[in-house]
Amino acid sequence: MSETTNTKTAPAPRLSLDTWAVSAAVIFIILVVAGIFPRVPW
Amino acid sequence: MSLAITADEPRLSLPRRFIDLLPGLALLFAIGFSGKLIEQTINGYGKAHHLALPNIEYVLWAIVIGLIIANTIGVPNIFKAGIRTYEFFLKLGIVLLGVRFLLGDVLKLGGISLIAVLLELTISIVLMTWLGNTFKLTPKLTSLLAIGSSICGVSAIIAAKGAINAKDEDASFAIAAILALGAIGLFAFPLIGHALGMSEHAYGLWAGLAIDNTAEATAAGNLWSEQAGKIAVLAKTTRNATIGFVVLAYAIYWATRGEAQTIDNKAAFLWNKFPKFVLGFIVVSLAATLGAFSKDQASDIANLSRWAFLLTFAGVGLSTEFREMRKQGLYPFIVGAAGEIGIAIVTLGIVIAVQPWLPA
Repeated sequence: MSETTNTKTAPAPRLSLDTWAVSAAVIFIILVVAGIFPRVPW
Repeated sequence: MSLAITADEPRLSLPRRFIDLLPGLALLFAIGFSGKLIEQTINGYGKAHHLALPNIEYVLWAIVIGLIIANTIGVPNIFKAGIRTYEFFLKLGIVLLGVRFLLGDVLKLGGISLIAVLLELTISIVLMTWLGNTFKLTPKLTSLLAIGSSICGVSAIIAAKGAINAKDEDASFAIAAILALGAIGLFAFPLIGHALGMSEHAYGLWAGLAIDNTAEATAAGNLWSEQAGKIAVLAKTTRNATIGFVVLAYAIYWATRGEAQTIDNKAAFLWNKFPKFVLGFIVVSLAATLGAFSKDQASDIANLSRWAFLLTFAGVGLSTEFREMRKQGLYPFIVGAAGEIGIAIVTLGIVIAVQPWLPA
């Protein structure tokens, strides 16, 4: 088999839900600490 | 809740996947916010007219509105992808909630929780295994029910399914039983807790120990009070942290019987199964303990956590479809119900035993 027919790349692994959640939390915290995020009411 | 746990979703581009989520996200927000408005309106009416109306938290309204929609008109497909994100918001909310725990509290309450969790794990697994054998469920379904009821419901069952080569239908049965019982526990636990005159710390610990799914445990805690919700989350995340060890033990058991793959690298297996959001929660708690946040910043992060939970509770209601659960059959439900009642009683005993070490 030639190399050109065998270069199909595997799909990139999906990020887990935990990774998404922790990443989003880190981004929110950075935005709050940097003062970019507006005050969050409740 | 979707029971389709094996179907490969088509791989869409990230922007397209995000756009698909928007209708469901809007519905989660609309329901959660309606719950908050109803709570505020009732409280405002009571104050304005000097009436002692019961303070029903937005949590209950959000869940009930979601349940009514899901079980009457049903949820149109366009909303389903977005609704499933409630698991993401649950984990996001827990990580951000770390800001409201000083590490000392985590270590103290977590230490008490850990002892209680180890007792709960042992008793739950023994009880579920005995019930499964008595009712002649398949051994792997029994394993899945034991794992689901002892640790963390759906996530644990999905993690274990692959590790012990269980059938799809066994996993679906186990998930349906755990979800049905979680929905019942959500409403039954606050009633029982109030009837027993429990303190909010004791109740929160009980909800976190006995209710299997993290979303339902969090909601049941918050139905009592925000403080009880915090304790329920801590106890539940302590349970979640044990997922790798229990699934590994079951995987080794089934591998020795030639019915699952052997696990060569046990450390890697444990790391893969460990819920990473628990680490995120601990890191945020550590940062708060070290004074990384001002009072306003900590308040903002805690409020973000509340908004994330608001979306979660709406998702819990919208994802609980009783007709789906009825399809799954009676025996797994009977075994699950009998086991859960036993676990609720045993964990109540554990909570009463550790109560002297809990804050008043």
